[in-house]
Amino acid sequence: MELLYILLQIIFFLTFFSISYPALSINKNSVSGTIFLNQLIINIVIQINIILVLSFVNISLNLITKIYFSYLLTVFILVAYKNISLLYLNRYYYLTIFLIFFVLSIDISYSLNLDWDGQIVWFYKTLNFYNEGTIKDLINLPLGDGYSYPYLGSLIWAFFWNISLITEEYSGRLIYVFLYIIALLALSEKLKASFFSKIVFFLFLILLSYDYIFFGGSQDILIFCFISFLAFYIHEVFINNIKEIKKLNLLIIVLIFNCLIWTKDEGAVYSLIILFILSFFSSIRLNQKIIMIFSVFFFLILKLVVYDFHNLDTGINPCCYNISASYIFSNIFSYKTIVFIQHLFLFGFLKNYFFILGVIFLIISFYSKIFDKKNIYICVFYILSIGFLYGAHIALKENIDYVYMLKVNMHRLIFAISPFFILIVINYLNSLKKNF
Amino acid sequence: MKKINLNILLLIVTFLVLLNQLDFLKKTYLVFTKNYDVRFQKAYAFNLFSGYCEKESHGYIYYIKKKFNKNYPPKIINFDKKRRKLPYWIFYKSFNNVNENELILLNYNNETEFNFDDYLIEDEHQNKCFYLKRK
Repeated sequence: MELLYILLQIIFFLTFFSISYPALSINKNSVSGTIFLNQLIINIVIQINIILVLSFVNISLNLITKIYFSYLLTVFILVAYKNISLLYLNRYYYLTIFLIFFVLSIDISYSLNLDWDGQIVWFYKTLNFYNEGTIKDLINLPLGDGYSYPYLGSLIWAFFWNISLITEEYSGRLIYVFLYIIALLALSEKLKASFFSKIVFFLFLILLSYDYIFFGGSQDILIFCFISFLAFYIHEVFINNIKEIKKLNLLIIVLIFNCLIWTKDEGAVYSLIILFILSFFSSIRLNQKIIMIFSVFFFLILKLVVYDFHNLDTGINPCCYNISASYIFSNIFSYKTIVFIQHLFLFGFLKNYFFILGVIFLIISFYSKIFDKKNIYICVFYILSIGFLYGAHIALKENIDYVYMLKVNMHRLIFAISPFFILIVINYLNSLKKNF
Repeated sequence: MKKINLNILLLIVTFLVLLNQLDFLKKTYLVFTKNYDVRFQKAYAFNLFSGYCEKESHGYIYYIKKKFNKNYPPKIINFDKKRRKLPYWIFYKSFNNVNENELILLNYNNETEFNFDDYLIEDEHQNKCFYLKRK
């Protein structure tokens, strides 16, 4: 019976996220995977933001669910039914998603373990929402273990658990699998190749990256997915020197920033890093840059206001960090730095095949003189992101067992920012195709 | 035509490698034949930080939940010398919703000081893990 419920859950996900508003206009004679994935990402990002915003007004998960289904039904009746033929036109994509989703779901339903962070921090937030608690009730969670942390991942975990026919918590975590599949498909779509080649590449990405530990309740997988969605949009901006992003895509980009901000504290920093890159390294128009900057800062302030309104803690975890400049500078030339570099290579880079491939293809493209300067934004992203991880590490208080923390977290932290490594590989393969 | 065939072949091979890497058929069979309770206990039996009645003892706590059909978690005390998480979440209740009149003791040994006189022993495992009710 459980297998049947898993299959139904997969069908639910595919159905919900296929109901499109706004629906992109598609030339039915030339079905494009890019348009299909663009539409799917738009639906996902908008629907997740709806669930998130509804949670701000202190309503229970059951009411959020009712409003969400009313939205889906309204959109379907008014708009989306017109595009129902697209289900058939994109049948191979649906089939791919369905098969891979089923395979990975079986692994989740068999493995079941929640990891340390999942058990201590994220699942209690999920239980809060699942048991009809609201944002206000998050204050009942222990301070040290993070009631101040963002909660989007826990909220959607609870949401999809609540509407599932499976009564166990892992049914909610299947949304992470769905987002992971769409994220990798979206990145594969950047490959200039036939549908089958893209799917083979996509399967390779799954083979290289899938690891149950990413789905054990920690939120780094969501950071990975949202950065992948951003990469799906902003890659074109750099490669094709786009000066004006489509309005809808601009809206989706800022909504993805919002998702990052509400997933983890690091997500807010990655948002700022990508915003910085878009502002200083892209050639998009100034007015669009200003819109993005204002939107991100608006969302950051909104988060503080919402937390403050519900009496939640807005500070950085006081148990673990000392962010005074003197403390950070005094640690730069300490043993902590050596430990960080050591663990970055051992547990971050050498366990991450995307990084290994990215570096190999970067070296090859330098060597064969086909390195495109348009890729520099990726290097800037990694310099800033790893710099941030290093900064966070040296700001850790002395009483924290930082060696252990690095050992258990580094793999996940580097994985979360690895989508751009894949783009390095894709750029190289595309340039090969162009040159031959 | 040949190129498409080659692509399809590559696709099938990659997919089969993925199935093999994930041990898909065996896991599908186990999900089909073993219910969630068995899988949950097995999953934590081989966990580095847990076991049935050792370390964090997810297995024993889950067993108590199911056997006594508990809706709210009893208070959990873990006597292990190492700091261990207390997995109240297994009962799927919000944080701090604990029934103080019932107790789960984990990693108890004869050197541990605990007064059993105030409690009725409802269940025990190898004189190491206990489920108690206040008299």
